[in-house]
Amino acid sequence: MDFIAIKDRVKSIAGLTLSIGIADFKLRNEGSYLGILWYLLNPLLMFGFLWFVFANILGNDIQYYPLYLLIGIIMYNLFQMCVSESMTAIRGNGGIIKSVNFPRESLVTSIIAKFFLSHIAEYIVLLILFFYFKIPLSQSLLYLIAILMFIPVIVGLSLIFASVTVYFVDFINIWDFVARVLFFLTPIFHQLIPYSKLYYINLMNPLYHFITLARELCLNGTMPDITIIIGSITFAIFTPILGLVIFRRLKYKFAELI
Amino acid sequence: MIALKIRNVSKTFNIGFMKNQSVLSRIISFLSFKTSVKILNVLSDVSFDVNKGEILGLIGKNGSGKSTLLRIISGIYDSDEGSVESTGKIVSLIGLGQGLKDRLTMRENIYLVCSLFGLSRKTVKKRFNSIVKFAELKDFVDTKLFQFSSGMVQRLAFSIAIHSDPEILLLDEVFEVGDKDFKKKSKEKLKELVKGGASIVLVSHELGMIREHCDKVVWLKDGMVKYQGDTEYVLSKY
Repeated sequence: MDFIAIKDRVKSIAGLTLSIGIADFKLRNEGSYLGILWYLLNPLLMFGFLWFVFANILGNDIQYYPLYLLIGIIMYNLFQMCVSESMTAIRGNGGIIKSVNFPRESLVTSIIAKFFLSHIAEYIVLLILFFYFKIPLSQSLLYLIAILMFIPVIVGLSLIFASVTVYFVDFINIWDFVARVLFFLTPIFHQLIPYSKLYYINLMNPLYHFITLARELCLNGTMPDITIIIGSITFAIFTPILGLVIFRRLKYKFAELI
Repeated sequence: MIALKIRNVSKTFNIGFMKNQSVLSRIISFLSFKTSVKILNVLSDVSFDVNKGEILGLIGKNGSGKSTLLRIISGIYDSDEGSVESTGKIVSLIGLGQGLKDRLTMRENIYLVCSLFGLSRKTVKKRFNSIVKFAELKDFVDTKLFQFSSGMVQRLAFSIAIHSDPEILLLDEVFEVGDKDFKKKSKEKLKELVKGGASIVLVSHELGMIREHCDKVVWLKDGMVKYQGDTEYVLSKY
């Protein structure tokens, strides 16, 4: 594929991402009085609950615990929502897939675009907390670095999960369990003890790297540990490549299997 | 000049795969040495050409492989063997009604489906009124599609397809529903497209329509080309 063909392909996927994303957003909020607030409500309720339960137990050891907790929750929420919904991106669009030939990747990228938009609302809540704790707002902007590195990882994993689910339907049930394990495994509301068993397991967990990256940059205004930097860059480069390779290999049978 | 070149296209489907789509059933199949493979030959060695500015009729009984062939031509399915070469933008109208979203309005569906056909939002905006006018659905722009009749949906789908700059248009039984006047208008539009150099592959069970509009016909029987050539010749054998 030459450069112009790649450019056209990317442009086409971007245009479709927007159109499908808008359509999905409207469908999701059809007849809803609260609309986009529903996207905010779930992470905020979870934040309130975890803060209530763990503030006294863990909050004393962790500086700015509410911010620490909220960053963990909203990043996990973005990841979990994108991957979960991507699993039905192909299966749920059988009609269109069997009628028109278009870049199938856009069905997945539109989901990520949709949740990224709602993530902006979560980020605004985060900014309010930054203001409350009198942390320089310039520090909060560093969150964008972490999230922009995290998005390619979400895209890659969503592409993998979307395509594999077409071939193995019960992958969705397996993912439900994995997502729950990830919530407790990743230091979202707790802190990792360095060089513990959990620490070594988390080195393979992309969520751990990006949540830690965001917290170090925003809350401490410092560069994170070299392990986190290398881990984040590695995941950000290789996950989308792996996702695209797997998706492109599997997509030719999508229309036949759904 | 050839717009569409189909050579030795064959396609099989594994119709036993449904039993094998869960991880557990795959493990059981693997351990019991039993695989649920049922192969169905849908197309065998199909070859024909469509020239620029030509309408080709594709006829055959239900299950003869017509829709599968259209899906292979448009790139929705991959063929197992053979090749499809085309020289222009392919727009397919294969059960497009299924692709439209019931819970969205007509306006939203037009933007969505046009973008699937490769049109930018800016272009759709320019053609929007023309699409609505051709479909004769001016009073239903902000009505949700589940409130449309099947004829209205088909009119909308057809109007979107012809406004998407097709150079090769694949039509699968699009004139089986809809009123007489709209059919007449659509046929006129097809003639206009063909005059402009577009090629059309038309699948239909209405032989009168095939006789009236097609330059040549391919008759598919059990996935194979039974006869192909001049319209009158093939229809006399059908």
